[in-house]
Amino acid sequence: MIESFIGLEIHIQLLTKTKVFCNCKNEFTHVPNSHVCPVCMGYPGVLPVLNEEAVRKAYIVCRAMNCHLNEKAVFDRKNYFYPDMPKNYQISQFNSPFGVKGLIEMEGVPKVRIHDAHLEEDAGKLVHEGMTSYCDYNRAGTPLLEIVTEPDFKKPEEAELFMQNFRKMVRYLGVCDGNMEEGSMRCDVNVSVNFEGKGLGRKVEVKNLNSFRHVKLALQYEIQRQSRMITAGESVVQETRLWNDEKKRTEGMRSKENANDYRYFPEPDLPPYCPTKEFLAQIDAAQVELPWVRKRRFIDEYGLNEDGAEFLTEEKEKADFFENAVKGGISIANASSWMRGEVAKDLNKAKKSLGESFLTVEKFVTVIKLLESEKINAQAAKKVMDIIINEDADPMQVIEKNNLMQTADSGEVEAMVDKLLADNAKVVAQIKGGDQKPIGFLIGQLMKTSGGKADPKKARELILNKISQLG
Amino acid sequence: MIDVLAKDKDIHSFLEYDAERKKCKNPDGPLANIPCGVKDNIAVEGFHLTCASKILENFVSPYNATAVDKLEAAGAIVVGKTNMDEFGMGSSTDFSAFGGTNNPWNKEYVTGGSSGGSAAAVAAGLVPFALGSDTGGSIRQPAAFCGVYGLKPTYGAVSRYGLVAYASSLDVIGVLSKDLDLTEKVFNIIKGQDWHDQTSIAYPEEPAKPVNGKLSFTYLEGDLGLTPEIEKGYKALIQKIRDKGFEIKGVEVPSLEYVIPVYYTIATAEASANLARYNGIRYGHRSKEGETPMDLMEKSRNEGFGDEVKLRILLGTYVLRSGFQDQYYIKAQKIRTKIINEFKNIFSTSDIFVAPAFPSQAFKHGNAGLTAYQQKVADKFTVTANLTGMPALSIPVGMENGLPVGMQLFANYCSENLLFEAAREVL
Amino acid sequence: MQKDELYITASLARLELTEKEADTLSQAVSQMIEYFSMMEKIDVTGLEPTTHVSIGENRVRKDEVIESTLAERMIEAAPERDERFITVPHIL
Repeated sequence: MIESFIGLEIHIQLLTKTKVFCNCKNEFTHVPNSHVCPVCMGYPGVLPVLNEEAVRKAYIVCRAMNCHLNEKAVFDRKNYFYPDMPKNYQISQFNSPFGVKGLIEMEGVPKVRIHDAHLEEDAGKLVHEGMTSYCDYNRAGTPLLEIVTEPDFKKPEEAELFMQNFRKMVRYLGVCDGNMEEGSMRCDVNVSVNFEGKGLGRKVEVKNLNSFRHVKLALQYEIQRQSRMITAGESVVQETRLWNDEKKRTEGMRSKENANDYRYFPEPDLPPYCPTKEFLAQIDAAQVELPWVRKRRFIDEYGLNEDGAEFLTEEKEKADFFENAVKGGISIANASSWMRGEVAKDLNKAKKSLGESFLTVEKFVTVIKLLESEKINAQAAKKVMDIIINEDADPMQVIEKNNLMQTADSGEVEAMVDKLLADNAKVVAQIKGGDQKPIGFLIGQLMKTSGGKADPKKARELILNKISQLG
Repeated sequence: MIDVLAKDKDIHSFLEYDAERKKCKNPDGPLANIPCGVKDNIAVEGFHLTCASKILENFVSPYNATAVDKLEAAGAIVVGKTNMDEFGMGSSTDFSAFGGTNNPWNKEYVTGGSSGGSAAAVAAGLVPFALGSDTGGSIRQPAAFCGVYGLKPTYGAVSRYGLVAYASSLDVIGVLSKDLDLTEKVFNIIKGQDWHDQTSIAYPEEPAKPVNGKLSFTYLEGDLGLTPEIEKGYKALIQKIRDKGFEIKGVEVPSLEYVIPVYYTIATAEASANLARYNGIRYGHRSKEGETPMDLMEKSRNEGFGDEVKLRILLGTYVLRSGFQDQYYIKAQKIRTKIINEFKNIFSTSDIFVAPAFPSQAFKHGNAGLTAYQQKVADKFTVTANLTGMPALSIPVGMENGLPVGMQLFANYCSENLLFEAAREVL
Repeated sequence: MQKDELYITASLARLELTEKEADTLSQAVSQMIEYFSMMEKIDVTGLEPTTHVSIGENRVRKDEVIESTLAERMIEAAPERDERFITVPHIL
């Protein structure tokens, strides 16, 4: 039997207004070299100036991962030359990063030990075209938090599930938007295989993974490749490989003349950072219930099924919305089914998130309460929901304006049914003859003529009664 | 008005001079209309910032160093950029890519370095004061060679923003002048914490007081390997201090023996990273050849850096390499702690520590002078102040054979006022 | 120092040494390294390395945008460029 060992190196760009060591905007732009200054361009004589928000967000993640926080965190210079790196060293943390020895526990994944989490600066971007590389330093200096796990995953699916949950976590914490396609969250993997009981094998790193799917596919490919090699008695080369998504395989990088020797040493331009008690209290206050914990609680506390809980805890705002709606006094079933159904559909159509739409918990609760007390019917509720998602409107006014209140006046509806039956004598005869199918048609007609005010549940009963009365 | 350019022709203290480029920004300021020179590794917007290196030959600074901003706000006018050893690496100014500077007292002799241009410019009376930088003695040694005052402030007292880094944990901007009062005045204007430099310190408002109520002195004892001229000046200074009624005792400083390896290990290690940014891509010299980015970087660096700079980059890269780091870099940082402790101890019972600035007076240009290796070993009296971060002042004490003799006063952190007080007392 | 060690070091430092330079520099580097080795005999038991000499309180800045006015000037300072991009040769 062959065992595999998988570790992840996750980079997240922190959501700050400015870069980590200068006051340039930390924001994507299509204008090359526009968010740059002498500091992030590595000009002679400039110095890094640490951004407190980057520090804060980095510690929030460290805490969420149960890391031990070093009393004295030290920045280091990581030395290597590359055209996208203005100083030709990267300010990072090596010997004493913000957080070490963390642990993440979630269902479906073995306990994942976090080796460390360290703050560093992103590099610029290079675009290659023909005989030229085009350098754009807008991204240079973006705050990056790198999280390194121990090789605790055994299967590609576990790594994929972990990544999905990790992404939710950083979004819950509000520290990163988790967009893998745009590179605000990136992941390198390391993987080794060995005969069972023999411990770790020779580690291969795989880079260029732009989605969870790539992570899984690359791991599957590598495990197969390496397993084949050791089974055939060959030894795996310790190296860095790139995922080629077109060919669905990993490929070795051209070997460099020398192995990298980063020559880390303490960054003399930045004093060490020692988190104070007050600061750590703020970090604790910023912690939230983690998505996978919340999902389990939703199942246990609200009796939701896996899918429902999964959906509702996908985003923190959605989970908060759901819980506040339930607190607002509507049923769990309605809160859940309406959020998963109509609201999700309308938001999808409007291409907006819950937070971006006009829908508030109060408005949502108002509509569902009217539905629950049968003041409006489901069709009317859907209509109102659509409007209050897309417009800044008051649900009561929408109902009034569109005359959607379920009419309490049964006489009015009865008159409508009488007219309906008179106008559709053929259909009525059919039903009387024992064919129940056309009832649906009559209900639909009634709803149409009543403008939704009639209660469809009662309508069926009423129509059948009237027909039987016709003798 | 003196014709500075004509006077500077034989000295070559300025790499760039233009008295008209900058206007006085504060006619009522404490330094109103006072011209000054700035070492060419300190950024002055609109002037070149070459660090006396071919790799930055055409580089013009788009911004001001904080110290320069502060000088301008006080009314001073930067009139030019002074010569230096390339990137501050040298103690003669002969390692300038644009030709050395001659000692104004005798042109066959060097000015010392690396702030040789600043020292020569003030010694020759071309400007009343100049800014220099000091990583291992680069202000104090040329000041001694040229017979002027040279202050190396407490590390972090003056913002390093705009000072092109040689060795970041040792570098500091300081002042050179023939006038002690002006030296002090300029220091008080340029000091202060700066948000651009997170290693800069909040300098205490209260002046430091002598530990025993009255200034007390110690001096460096032992076999110091001084030339007779320096020996004579040194003994005379100690006697003078005694004659003035101050307490002065000799102390041996055992760490002096190994400060040079410690200093060069740390300085070159930091330099190897600090100088990595010069690769011909974003600014500065770019090689005409080079087909890949790596090739281009290597060729640009090779063409742009001088031999001494290459030597120090190689040394610094080597001492940081994995497998060697513990033995050299980490060890040096630990010995640095030992040296700091030794000096803290000295300043727990006395205020001023006296030592020579350099074992000899200015030496001759070229092969008749000291080899690069000998020059490095001779830095032992100056580098301690950089390793400890404590302030030191080079003071002119006389002339021998037509060349100045300079000595050094050291003090505890943020005790620059005691250095100035002592200098006034003993001269 | 052996010459191959010098070449490895030079390559890490992105310095391309000519044969002649390698000769003179390896001598100078060796001389200094040999000199450095005198640190071996110094006892530093119990001493922490000094990496910074002016440590006070934590230093951070506010997360506030200050847009630099120097972007165009810096693009123009690049030895080779294509519109707003700074360019370098690239051989695949």
